[in-house]
Amino acid sequence: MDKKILLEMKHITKRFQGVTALDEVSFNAYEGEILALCGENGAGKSTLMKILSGSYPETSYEGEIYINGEKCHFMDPAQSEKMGIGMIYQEISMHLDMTVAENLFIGRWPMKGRQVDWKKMNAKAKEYLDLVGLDIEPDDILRRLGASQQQLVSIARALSKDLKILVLDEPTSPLTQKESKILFQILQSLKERGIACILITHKMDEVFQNADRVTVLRDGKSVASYLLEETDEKRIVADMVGREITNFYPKEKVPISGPIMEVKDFSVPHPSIPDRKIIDNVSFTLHKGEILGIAGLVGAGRSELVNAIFGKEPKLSGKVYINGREVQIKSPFDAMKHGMALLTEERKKDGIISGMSIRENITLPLLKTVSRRGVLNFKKERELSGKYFESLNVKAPGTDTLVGQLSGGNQQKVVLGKWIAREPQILILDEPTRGIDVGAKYEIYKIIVDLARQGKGVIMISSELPELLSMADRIMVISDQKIRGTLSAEEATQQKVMELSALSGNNIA
Amino acid sequence: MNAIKKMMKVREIGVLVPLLLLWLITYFINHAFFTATSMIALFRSISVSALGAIGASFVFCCGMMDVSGGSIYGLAGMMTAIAMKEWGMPVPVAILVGLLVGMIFGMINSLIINGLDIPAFIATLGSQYIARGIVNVVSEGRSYTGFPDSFNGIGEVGPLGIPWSIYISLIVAVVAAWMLKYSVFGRRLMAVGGNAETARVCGINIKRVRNMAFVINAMLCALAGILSSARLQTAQAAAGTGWEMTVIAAAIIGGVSMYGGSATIIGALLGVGIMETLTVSMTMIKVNAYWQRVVIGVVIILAVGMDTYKRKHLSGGK
Repeated sequence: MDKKILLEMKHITKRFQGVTALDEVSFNAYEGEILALCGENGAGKSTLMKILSGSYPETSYEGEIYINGEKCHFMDPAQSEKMGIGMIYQEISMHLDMTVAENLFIGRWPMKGRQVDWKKMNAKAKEYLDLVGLDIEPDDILRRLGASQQQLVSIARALSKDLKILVLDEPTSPLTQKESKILFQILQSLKERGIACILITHKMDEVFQNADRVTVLRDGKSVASYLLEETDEKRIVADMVGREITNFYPKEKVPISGPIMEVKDFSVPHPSIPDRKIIDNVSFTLHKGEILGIAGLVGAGRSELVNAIFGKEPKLSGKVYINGREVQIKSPFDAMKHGMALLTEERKKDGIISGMSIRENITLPLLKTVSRRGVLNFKKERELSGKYFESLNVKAPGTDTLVGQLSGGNQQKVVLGKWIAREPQILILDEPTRGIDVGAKYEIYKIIVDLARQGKGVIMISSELPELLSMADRIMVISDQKIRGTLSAEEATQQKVMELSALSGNNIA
Repeated sequence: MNAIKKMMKVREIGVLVPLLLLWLITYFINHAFFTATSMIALFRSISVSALGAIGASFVFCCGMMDVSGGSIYGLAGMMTAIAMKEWGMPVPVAILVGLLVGMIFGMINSLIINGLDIPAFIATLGSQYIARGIVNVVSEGRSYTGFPDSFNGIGEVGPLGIPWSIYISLIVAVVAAWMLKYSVFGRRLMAVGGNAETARVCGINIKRVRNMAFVINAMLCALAGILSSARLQTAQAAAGTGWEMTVIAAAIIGGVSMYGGSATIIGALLGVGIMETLTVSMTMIKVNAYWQRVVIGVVIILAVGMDTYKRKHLSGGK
């Protein structure tokens, strides 16, 4: 390659409270190229890009960044922007109620004395809008534009700042196929202007249709970098998932019997894009004693599906049958009444109450059990919470310790404890081991296996494939609104799951 | 030393000590402060405001805010007066009318907030205006006096020379403290204030819990308004204007967090003590009435500032 190196990141190491997110990662980008950055969830892609964008100050990591050979010291995003780095995130980060032109020049509006020079601003805005092929007026309010137009506005904004490097994090996830095509045409034209585009994506077809090079991260390390013509999809996927499966999964084969829950024709609205479905007409069955894994990329709609089944979030349509009988679930209360429990994805957001004690957290879904006529029975509450505190091996001085003072793994055990204490028939676990240490993971696996042995139905969503492959009896892969395949434990491999996760409606047809 | 450290950990101590200091200072400046008459007068006003502070504690506890209390106080006092004077209702029924007005406004508040998804501060600011407007409409701006003796008697002293309102507030405080600690409702209230989403996922009907908190608060404000018109033997259209801020400030000074999930009735009572003592002692020290407002404003800001600080630095974060 005779192109000039534009960006060099050298030996970047970043730790979060003892967890190494990036380990001596070196990363280059050349002038005028589209570079795909691939890796599983949690491989460190976003962390690396946040370091580049200055979201993490220079003092919080080790390593060096050079742009055009010049050493950079980014303490905040403004400094990174000044060096010509533009970031396009999945979520639009602009002011929806301002005009397009105001957004383009936010904070550096052209001035006439002490007033904004609207005429000049709109004229300049028009130039940049033309560059990205947007046929809209500079004084349009951003909110009225579609998702793809808003995204192009943010690219135009990046362009207006002497852009050298453009980072796009899953840019096509809110876009339709046609809109994606337009986006990539624009990226090609940016490339011709010498700009380096770094594309974070899970979609292999996008990589192969558009990128010049690909760099793969795995577990915080840079494992491979190829020119596109030197590699193929199988190779990249293997690099992404190629970690060894350490054998610490206490999986047991237990007899699986008849269906315990059937979900029929479920459709769920997209949480942030109006008039769009994130899950479209999905049906599946859960059996007694079965651990059903749900795989798929972050944002594929796995959580949205189970949240809607549990009545936590609204659904568009769909029926749930438990033990063959249709049940109406309109709220978590209804779901709990029918023997369901849901461990949610983000325990801080809707799993724990950090200002309450372990005891109060565990009995929260059981207040009826530990009270009589509306009066709490503290003795009973202590006994019940103590039982699960012990059996889950929560590491804390006692059940009166505030949950906010526990480590993530112990918080997770408390959340799990409160649901198991209800003795549910159907337990749905959304990323049950996220962000917790290996020891606590093992204990949580044991609990899950134990529940399956008791003949309960377990649904387990996980982004950690080795975990799913080892624990689940079947793995259902969700991608682009639908179940793209269900694999039995015997036939499932990381490769197959990854391939199904990368499928979208248009490349199956 | 250790004993002192332990004492300092009880959060109410942080309010009790300033309250005692305030009393001492006032006493040194004006010895008349510690006479039976002025003490009874002080505790009488504490008892009325305590009802509002207890109500505010319930609302804060579930993470909400209610600024309509002063108007509900005025409206309930007025409606009780009208029920007696215009409609000729017996005293107990008239009092029930006042309480009912409170209940209805509590429900209106929660309906606006839960149903229309309007922020609590704005919704209750609206109902503050509505309730105050209604007081003026129904009374046509007049004051009512000349109530039956049995009604005025509620404002007088009862057994042991202690005013009835103090007995009533004590009972309310004990029941409220019991509810927060021992009842399922209290636990749900704390949970909704601590993390509403978690509470919802655990099957708690968070709207119903909030509704209860607003109704309790509004009824306590109504009770305070009725007690106050019995004490003054007058119902005025302007009664209770700005009162909600005094009781909200008192609750916060007492350590009730504006951010939800925790409440202390004893703290709220001590907070009322500080607010009412401030007013009384500033009058005794002859601080100009306009400056009194400035001082109280500063105290409110300091109290909220401390709550925010505690939240950020001491609780270990949420």
